[in-house]
Formats: sequence, C-alpha cells, structure tokens
Amino acid sequence: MRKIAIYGKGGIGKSTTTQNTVAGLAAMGKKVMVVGCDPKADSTRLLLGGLAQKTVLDTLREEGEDVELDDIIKDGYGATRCVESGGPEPGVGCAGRGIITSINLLEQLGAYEQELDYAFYDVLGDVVCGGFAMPIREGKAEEIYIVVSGEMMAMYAANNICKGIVKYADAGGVRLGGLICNSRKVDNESEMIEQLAKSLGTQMIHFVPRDNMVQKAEIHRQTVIEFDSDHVQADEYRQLAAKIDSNEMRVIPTPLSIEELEKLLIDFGIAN
Amino acid sequence: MKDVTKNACHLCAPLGASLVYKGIQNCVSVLHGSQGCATYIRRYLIGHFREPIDIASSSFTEHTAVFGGQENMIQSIINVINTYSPDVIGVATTCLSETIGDDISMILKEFHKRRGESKTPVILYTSTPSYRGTHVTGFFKTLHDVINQTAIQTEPVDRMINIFSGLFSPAEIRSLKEIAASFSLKTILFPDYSDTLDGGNWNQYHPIPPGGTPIQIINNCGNAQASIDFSFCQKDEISAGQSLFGKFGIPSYRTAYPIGIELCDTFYDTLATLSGMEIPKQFMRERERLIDGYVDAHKYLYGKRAVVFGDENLVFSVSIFLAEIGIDVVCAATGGPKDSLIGLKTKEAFARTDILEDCDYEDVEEWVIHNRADILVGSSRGNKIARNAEIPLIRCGFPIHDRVGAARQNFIGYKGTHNLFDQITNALIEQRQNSMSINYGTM
Repeated sequence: MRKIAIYGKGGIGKSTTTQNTVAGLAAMGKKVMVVGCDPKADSTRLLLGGLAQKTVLDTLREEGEDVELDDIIKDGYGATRCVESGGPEPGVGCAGRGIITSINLLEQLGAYEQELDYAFYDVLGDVVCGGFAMPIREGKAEEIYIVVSGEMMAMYAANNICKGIVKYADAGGVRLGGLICNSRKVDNESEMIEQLAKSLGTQMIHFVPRDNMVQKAEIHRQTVIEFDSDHVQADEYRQLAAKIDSNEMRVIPTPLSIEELEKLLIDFGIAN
Repeated sequence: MKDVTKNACHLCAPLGASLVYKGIQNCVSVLHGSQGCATYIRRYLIGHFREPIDIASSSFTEHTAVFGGQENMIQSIINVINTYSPDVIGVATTCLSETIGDDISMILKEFHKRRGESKTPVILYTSTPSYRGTHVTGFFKTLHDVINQTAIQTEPVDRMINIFSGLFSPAEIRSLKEIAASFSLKTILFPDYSDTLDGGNWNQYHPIPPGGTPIQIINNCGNAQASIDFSFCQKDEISAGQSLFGKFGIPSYRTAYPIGIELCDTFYDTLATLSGMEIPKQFMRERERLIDGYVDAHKYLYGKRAVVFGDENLVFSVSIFLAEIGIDVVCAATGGPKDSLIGLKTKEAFARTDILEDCDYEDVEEWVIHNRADILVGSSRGNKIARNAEIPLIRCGFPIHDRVGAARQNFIGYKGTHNLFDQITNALIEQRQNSMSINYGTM
C-alpha cells in the first residue's frame, strides 16, 4: 500500500484536488482510503456526495470507546473508503491531539490492514503543530505531494512545508513526491512552478488548469470525474492520478531561502 | 459515559512504565513531561515499596510546551548519562508531551545522530499518556514495547521460557522464579524488580539500586521456547507474549494471576507441559494443604459478601478464588478499561455480581453504602470506604501505603493463596469476635 499525504496552503484546493485525484485512481480500479485530517471534516464531501460522514472524534465523543471500523468508514464514489478525523469546535480544545487520537484509533481498529492500494491523508494547511505532523511520522505517510499555485503565498507555504519534510525525512523516512500546480491563472505559472520544483529538487508532477467545471461539480457535491466524466477537466485529474500511480521520484527536498524564493518570483513572475 | 471522575480507581500510565523500567538492570527512567509527573509517581512508589526511587524528568515549562520538547528530552538524557552512567534509559511520555504531539522516536534518532560515536546506553521508549490508560495498561504497554524493541532471535535455547510478569510484589516475583526453577526450566522473568524495589540495607549510596534483568538477557527473549504472559485481562496489542508470537512464532500462554486452586492449577499445568515434567511433589503438598484449609475454614466464609477492586487482573483472579472458597463476590470493580473484566461476566459464578469497569472509588463507595458487604479486598485507597462501612479491608495490589510489608506480600501460587486465604478468614473471624457482646476465647 502506498501512503500519501497532501499538504499545501489553506484554500489552495487540497481537498478538491485530492478527491478528484482519488476518483481518478478509483476509476483505474485502485482501492483507496481517504483520511481527512482537517477539523472542518470536508475532505470527503465530493466522494460521499455531501457532508454525510460522522467523524471519528464525534463518534468517540458520543459512543465512548466502543467504536467499530464500520462506524467511522463510509464507502464513497468508486468504492473509496472515506474517513474524517474531525475535531473540536473552532476555538476550543486541541485539534492536533484530535488528529493523533483518530489516527491511533484507525490503526487500532485495523483500518490499514484492509486490502488497499492507497491511503491518502488530506491535511489542513501548514504543519502547525506536532499533531498535524502525525500523518508524516514514522510508518505513516511515506510520500507527500504539495498543492501549490503561482501565487507568492502559496509558494511560500510550499517552501515552508518542505522544511517540515526535511525534518521528518531524516528520522521518519517520509519523502516528497512532487508539486501539484493547481492553477490560479497567474502569468508564467507553469514555468515558475517547474522552476520552483527544480530548485526544491523535485518535479511538478502535473499542472491542473483552472476550470469552472470544478466549482460546478463541487456545488453538486461531486468530483468532476463523477459529475461529467467526458469533460476535459476530468481528463486532467485522470492524468494526475496516472502520473502519481507511476511516479517513482521520491526526494528529500532542498528548501529555498527567502531571497531565492523572491528572486524566483522576480525572474518568472508578475514582476517580470 | 460518566460525567465526571472524582477519584479514579487507578493511577497514571507512566507509573506502570516506571515500574517496568525498574525491572531492568542498571536502568533509569526519564519521564518526558512536567516535573510533577515524576514527583507524583516517585511519591507513590516510595510509599508502597519504601525504597529510594529516582525518576528523571525532561522538565517541561511553558516554553517547552510551545516549542516542543526535543531539546529538553535530549538534555535530560545527557544529564542522566552523566549522573548515573546507566546501561539502559527508559523513556515514557506523559499527558502534556503527548498532547503537543512530541514524536519520541524521532527525537531519539536526532539524539543518536548528535551523539555520534560516543558511548551511549540503550534507550527504550514508550508512549503513556494518562488520559489513554491506567498504571496497569501502562505497565503492560511498556513491557510490550520493551520486548518489541529489544528481543532478537538468533539460536533457540532449549528449555528456556519467558515469564512476562504482572504487577506482582517483589516477593511474588521471587516466588515465581523459584517455582519455574523447580521445573528445571531456564527462565527469563521480566520485569524483575524483586531486588531493585526490595533491597537490603546499604553501607554506601547506590545511584541505581542493584538488581533487575540485564538488557542482554532481555534481548534473548526471542530465543525462548514459549512465553507465559500474565497480561490476561489486557488487549492483545499490549501483550508482550503476543508480540513475540507474531514476530518469531514463539507460543504464548496468556495466564491469569495464579491465585486460588483453579487458576494455580492452570499455571502449574502450563509449567508441567512446557518442561515435560510432572508437577513437583512439594507443590502438590501445598495444594493439598490449601484444600484442607478451605475445608477447615468453610464455616467462617460461606455466604460472606465481598467487594473486590483495583487492577483488573487482580480483581479477576481474586474474584475466582473467593467464589472458590464460598464467598459471594457481590461487586467486582476496576479502574481498568471497558471489557477488561469480560472474563468474569461470562462465568456462571458471577451472574449476580455487579461488575464495574472504568470506575471510580466513589462508585465503589456508593455501592458499599447502598448494599451490604462483609469485607473489602483491594488497595490502601479503599481505607476510607472500609472505615465508613466498619468492615475489614484486606490490602492487596497497588498502592499499599498505610501498612508496611507491601514488597513482601505473596498471594500467588498455592502457598501464596493460602496466605491470602488466612488473612481473609482471620479478618472475618476478628470482625465477628469483636462485634459480640460476650468475649468468646474460641471462635
């Protein structure tokens, strides 16, 4: 089983990209589990056709320790196995510990012992504390993809996430698989992200063009592949899925200094 | 789900971890968290064993809680190496370090990297946040993790078995070793704190008390023919025996604490099977005397009502023993997790027993106030309940901090059972004698 974590700046489209890619993998006949690690619990909405999932932590809170795997895993599009870790309400408790608790519980219940080709962790924004690093600890996710766009702050976040990966790569064995560019229609976007990937020692695994079809499908609580399988955008996600499936490049990234990052923006970006 | 815990019928998980590390020769434990965690656990262990107990702490402050505990952890290990020169350091986490998500295995890798070629002790680690477990689950989890991290298989050793001990007293551990030796078996008993927590008087101070199982011998657990594992009421994932079975195919005999005829028979029979020997005569004589004792005292015991509380393994075994001698176990209570007493629930003899799991001392107290009991069996923390109800408390388990001799108490095996049996019988006789208006000289 390949264990993959998706990181990226908040609002960049991690959950959307993850679910569309997972739908692509499922369409290829792969068995995939998606573990949403965001307290908002919206990482599986498109696969399940709505926020239909009771989270691991809600289940724990309401039913005590007597949780069974079937209580927290639901089957979504293409027989994908969907889990939402969930978390406390905004402003209270400790969301980081929530992630630790639910991943521990999933392990205890044997969620990773099912016959799976892939487990995807969809993780909230930056690695803000120890709890959000849980998915990249030893023996958990082995491969990371960062969703990024040509906007400065998204690149800045990607670079920061790479710093986190370096820390865990040394001890935990996690590697960077590549950058996924989720286009914001910034000038020279593709070239710039290719260059960023090169500087980080990795690849831009796919350039996902911006298309309103994604939003349209989202309103209908579906992935593009489910909503309109023949649309060009569905093809983009199928391509991304295929590229991830055949990807063998795994690196310890070489994060950039701020000066290098800014220079990249000046050389390729809007300032050009 | 209950609303509030007032006085939990268990102690902290890292206490169990510290106890296991006390069973390793020349080992110091380090708790990754605030200083209070180490102090609290030392206080309990010292009160019970009445021996010096050193437990180091990575000494969290607010700063550490915000920025992560890596530097404190590394510094505390270095301090322990410089102060104690141990062969082994046992790290256990606490609530705070777990909540902020400190990853011990990663911190230790960083430590070893920085340490380079310098001579470094073996460092073991376990994760024991107290909001996920008790001193009992912490004990067995640490035992499991130590074996998982150290046992290796090279060349199987003939007639060698592992005994993965439970929360036994030093005297009980000594007795287990003697019993196993009588079957001509080579035994690795772990954790063996029979000397470190019950030593002699010293002429000079030892930073680390002598005794415990050497780490090289623990490594050898992978070469045993079988394991006897006393984690009877625990989940499989924290059973050291199960772990060795999974890794090396070493058969594991999950065994209840051997108290009472039935459970002792299982234990001695297992030793007989593993050794290919008959049960030595001396034990059969002890067994005969125990049955004779049962017969002699039956008139004092039959129909008496007992409440048993504490470590789930102890509650399980003591309850079966009490049922054996004609005492009704009216309430069996543990602070252990849900279903840890499932073994009792399925037995006919306990069909009418109130079985409380994940309970509070307050629950036990409430129970005793609203129902009738003649005797309590459990730790010193039941003292208040016994005093209010004016019934005797037979102290067994952990902690016993209002009497001396906790380390010398032996309630396991046929002989140990007889000892417990006499204490219970005499307490009931004394209660009856004292409550009579006439001073009867013979009871």
